[in-house]
Amino acid sequence: MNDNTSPTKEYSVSARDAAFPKPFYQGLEFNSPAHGNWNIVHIGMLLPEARQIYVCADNCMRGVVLTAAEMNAEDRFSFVLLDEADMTVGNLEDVTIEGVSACIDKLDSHPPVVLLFTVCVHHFLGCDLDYVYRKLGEKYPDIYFARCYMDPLLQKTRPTPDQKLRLAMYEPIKALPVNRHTISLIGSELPLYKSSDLYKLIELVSGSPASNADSCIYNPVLKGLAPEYFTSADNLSISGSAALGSAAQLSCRSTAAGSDIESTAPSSSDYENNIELKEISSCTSFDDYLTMGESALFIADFPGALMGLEALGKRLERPYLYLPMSFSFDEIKGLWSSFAQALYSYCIKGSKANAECTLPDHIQKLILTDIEKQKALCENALSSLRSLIGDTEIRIDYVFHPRPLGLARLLLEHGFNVSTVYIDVISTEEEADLDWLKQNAPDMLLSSTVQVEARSRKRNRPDVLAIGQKAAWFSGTAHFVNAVYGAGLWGFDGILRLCDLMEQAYREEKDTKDLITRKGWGCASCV
Amino acid sequence: MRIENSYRIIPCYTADVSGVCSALYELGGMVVMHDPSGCNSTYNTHDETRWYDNDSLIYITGLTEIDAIMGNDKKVVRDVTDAAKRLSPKFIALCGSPIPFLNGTDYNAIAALIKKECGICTFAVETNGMHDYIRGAGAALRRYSECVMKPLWDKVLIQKNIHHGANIAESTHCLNKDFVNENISQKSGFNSVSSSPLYKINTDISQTLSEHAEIYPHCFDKSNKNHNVVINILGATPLDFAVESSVCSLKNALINRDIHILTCFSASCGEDVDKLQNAVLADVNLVVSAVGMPMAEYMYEEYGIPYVIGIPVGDFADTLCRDIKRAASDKVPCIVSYNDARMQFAKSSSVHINDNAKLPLAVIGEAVTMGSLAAALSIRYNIPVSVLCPLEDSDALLSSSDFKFRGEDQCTYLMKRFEHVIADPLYLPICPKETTLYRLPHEAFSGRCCRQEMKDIFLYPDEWPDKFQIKL
Repeated sequence: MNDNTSPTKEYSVSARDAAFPKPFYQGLEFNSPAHGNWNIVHIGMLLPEARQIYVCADNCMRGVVLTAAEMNAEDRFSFVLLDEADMTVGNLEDVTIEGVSACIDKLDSHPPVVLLFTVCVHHFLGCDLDYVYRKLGEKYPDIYFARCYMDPLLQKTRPTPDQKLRLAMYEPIKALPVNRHTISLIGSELPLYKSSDLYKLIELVSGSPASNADSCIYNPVLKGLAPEYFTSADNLSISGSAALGSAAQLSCRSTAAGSDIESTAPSSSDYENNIELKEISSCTSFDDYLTMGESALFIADFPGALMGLEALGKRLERPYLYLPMSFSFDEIKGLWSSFAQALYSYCIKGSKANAECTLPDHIQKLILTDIEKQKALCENALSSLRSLIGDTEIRIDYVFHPRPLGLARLLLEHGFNVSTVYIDVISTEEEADLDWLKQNAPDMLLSSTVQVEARSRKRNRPDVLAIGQKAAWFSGTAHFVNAVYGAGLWGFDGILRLCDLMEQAYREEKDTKDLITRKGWGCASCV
Repeated sequence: MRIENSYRIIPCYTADVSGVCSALYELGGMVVMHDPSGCNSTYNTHDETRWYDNDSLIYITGLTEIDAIMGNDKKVVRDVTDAAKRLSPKFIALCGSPIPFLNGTDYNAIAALIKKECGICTFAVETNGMHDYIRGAGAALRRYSECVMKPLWDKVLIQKNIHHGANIAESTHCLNKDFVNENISQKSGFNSVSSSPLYKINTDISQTLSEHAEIYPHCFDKSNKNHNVVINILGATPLDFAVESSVCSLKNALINRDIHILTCFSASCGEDVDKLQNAVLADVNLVVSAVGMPMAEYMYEEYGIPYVIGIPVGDFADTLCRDIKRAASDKVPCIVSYNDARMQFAKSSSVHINDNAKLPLAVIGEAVTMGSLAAALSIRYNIPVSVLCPLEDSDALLSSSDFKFRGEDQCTYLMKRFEHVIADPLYLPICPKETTLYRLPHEAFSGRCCRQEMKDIFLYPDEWPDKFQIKL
């Protein structure tokens, strides 16, 4: 949509008047006490056996070192403090090499991989990082030094530190012989629910459950996650889970309906097409992590992982597919189709080219049938939820999900009273949703989370149902969905789970202060 | 590169920038950190206990690469001015991080431009993110005193002297020359000052003074030698007094010993910020952390108010209060009370420690609070207690039996020399096996990690009996 809107200096703007992609002028910035979002320390700790080493000044260091301490991971974190002399003498390369060496030499044994974070200062002073990494590599040939950055000076015009980290973390992975039974999810901190559509599609296409569908999450970093993450799909109790049956169950139902799907669908007892979906959170060691290099297909579902996904796919010359978390039924349908096609081509057929293989009709039918079932389940769940909560005011924030406008649209389309989305910059993925809102909900507000007045606005709406931690804080409500970054919700299963979470939030109060001030939602925390 | 700058497991202390924010938090101003991102989050997550419940105007500039390279200070001036016009803070403080340090940002010039644009008192606190909170918070309180409080203090002094019928020369003899030139000497008819614009502005001050004249008559009648000493508390921030009750405990310990508290910088315990203008009426300033030193020195330089250093903890509290009264009566410029007490103890103690033997006890942390704790422990247990201090700007606050250190290796080396140490729990990983560590969390070190076991240091001594099992 063409419009002539420009960023506002006000705290809020209506969807009608919101400029894309920056609705708000970027001046002084406030930071709210909602800290459940993951930072680079949390993300890096997911890499098994990795040690993080930061080289920066005290003020920057304080935030990251205590992040590590709060998640009980201080024993995997070292740092080098820089002072004025280090920055002005002109030997920042030597300072960095010597400092990092001193950190490593203090350890009882060498880690297999070091995430070495340099900072704005290195960039600003033109530090020769090639030299730094080369020298460190020569000095410690048994350690892989990943190029990581904590350089927020650049984040408004170039990739953010966490985007670059999601690239760097996968650089140690080398190409192994292709194993068509393995695919890998890249760059998602939070594991997928085992009931996720993606696991389900693996089952539909391969005829057998994903081989790790019942496995537990290994990574100790994720000890703060709710128990359902550690439970297999069959043990779930959410509203739609009863209908999220296995392929075998679907097959039986289809037979009962008189179709011939059962005779042509792959047998669930035939495991020759067995596929494992590897996630970083289930890797048990660095060596295990490196086996992602045998993946026949790389996928990502988080926008911040896209850069790393593309780089990994291109470097290893493997197919890759971006499957964003979406709240649009049509988009989800398309994603199901893309993923199923890719699975069939690269995993079932072992092809190198997606276009060479056409998804068999019987699988397409299975998928289409299930899509309709899932859509119906979602419609029912949304309808039931709407009946329950009525016109309760709903506010959403961008940390809860990378598609906050898409979520607002879904809820508005189903009659919910969404008043506000807390957002500072609109993703290009959401331009169409903004256009829809301009047309269909022009008075819905977009509110900044960082504009100066965000500090002093009244937070006295305990009746609001908030989706996300920032929305909860800005509203002053104890009724909120406590999650970040999409929380592993994907596709139809994600929508069903969201309905469940909203219902819980509507019915029960949470301790907002206690929950939202903890860093890294889902991480272990000593706070 | 100094090897002590490489750390394996313990954290670093709160940085200077956070110190600025902490010191000025409750004073009604707006603090702006010139920083790309992260300073605000780090500060309000790990260094600030008040962020969730108490609003304070603290922001970053969101500095970008291009603005840093091109030196686009106009954006800072514009953004701060815009924000100030919306929010009407009492003052504006600017502080900075490493990149503005590297491009030579002239904060004083920026502050002057902002002040000109919005008419609000604006000052810079020289920080660069490479020092600890003692430096930042201390500088912030001094700059706040110089820029915000001094004009008010000068007015209060004039009012006080007029209340006594002193002539204008007496009223202004200790005031800043610039202030006098700007506000007084150019005015005529000083015999009728009550009608001058200056005093019309200060009717509220006059009112406050009258209230204080009733409560603290000594301020207006120094001939009464039995009056209670009136003090300001300087350097009380949550970074050293994180437990909500601790500042109140601090005050109670003083009040119970006939010390009256006029103001508290800068954890106000809900006090009216406007009353801070009366600080200049105090007999003595009590410095309760190294953070308070620059302000105390300034108030001595400008107004001749002596200062005593220490906190009234445990068995040391009586000594401290005696020193406060001595400073008031004898006009002793500065007393490092806890060190004097420890020296007295060393002279009088019959305890002798073999040169090769381990020392009994050390406390690790901020010089004033830990020095006072050391004094209290010495008195209680009749043992020498050392302070191990990793913080800056603390040399003058340590005694000959104390040690400064930087980094993990130096700390471990020093800890080995003691049977017992009292320290933040995050020192535990580098504590030698042969040394026992007693946990005393310090907000400026472990932040939120150990907040649940954070202690009100003024109540802590009562938990000690038989705890240490010290054998000499």
